Amino acid sequence: MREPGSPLEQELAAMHAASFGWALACCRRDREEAEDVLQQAYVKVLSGRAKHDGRSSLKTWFFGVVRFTALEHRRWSALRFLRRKDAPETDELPASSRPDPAVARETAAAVSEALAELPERQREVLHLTFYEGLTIAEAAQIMAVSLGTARQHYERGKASMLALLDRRGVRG
Amino acid sequence: MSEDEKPDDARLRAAMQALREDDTRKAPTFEAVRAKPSRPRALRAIYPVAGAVAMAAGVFALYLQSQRADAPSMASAPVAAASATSMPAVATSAAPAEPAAPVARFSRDDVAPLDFLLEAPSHAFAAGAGPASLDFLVPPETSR
Repeated sequence: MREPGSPLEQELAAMHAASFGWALACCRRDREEAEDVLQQAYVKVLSGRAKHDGRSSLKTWFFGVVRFTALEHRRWSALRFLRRKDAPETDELPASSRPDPAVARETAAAVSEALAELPERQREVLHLTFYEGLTIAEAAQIMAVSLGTARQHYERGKASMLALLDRRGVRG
Repeated sequence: MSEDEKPDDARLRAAMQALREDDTRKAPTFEAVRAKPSRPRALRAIYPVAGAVAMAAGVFALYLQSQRADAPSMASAPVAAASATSMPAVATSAAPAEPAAPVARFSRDDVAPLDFLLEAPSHAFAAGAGPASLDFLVPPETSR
């Protein structure tokens, strides 16, 4: 493990919120699983098991690591009975958090539900483009698919998502 | 939208930003996630269990193999009956007695005829007035 406060660690800390959002998307919005996946991804990167080769941006590369870790994690999801029962509850908000308006929370919940109804690839590409603000090319790189495939998922996902938001009465 | 452009739907972007803000608000800190104790890996539990299961399966296979080798000495009743009914004909002849044939040589057609069992007056047992003897169970050629 690298020493605390290394440049890499600082960069990971700087994009932690985005990484957590991506981990949530990769774990079907399961918060506990997302924390586990992100923790394992941090360990991989900081211990040097996963190395950034500089061919893409650190964010694109790290999101790929998170996605792969989530896939690994899911393979063993059948063995959830091995989960530790003494894991601390994570539903409490950080001290710095402020109460959100109820409307915004409802919108977030509706968007989360709508996303959950989409196929995995569509969900991923929409998250990476609309949530993270990445380009389709970057999304394709993270998802390990061709640009054409990513674009197809993007277009289909966008149409489905708009229909799902309409059904839930979410207006822009 | 070309691949270098940003997402073009303002409505979707607004909806996703609402989700993003909600996630950011609820996100644990970087230090909390990094320092989180990792769960026991499933593989760590699976390896010893799988090893024990494989060993038990191996022992069981060896046991079955040894049982199969001893199978002729543990012939089942119908086959034994078949040898009992077929032996008197051989024994009454002048030919020298052959050693008992291994069970594996019997084919399906060699089993002893059990048709005489169908002649048993089972209704008599049911009525509580069964016959005094069970001679009817003995094949005709071996009866006294």
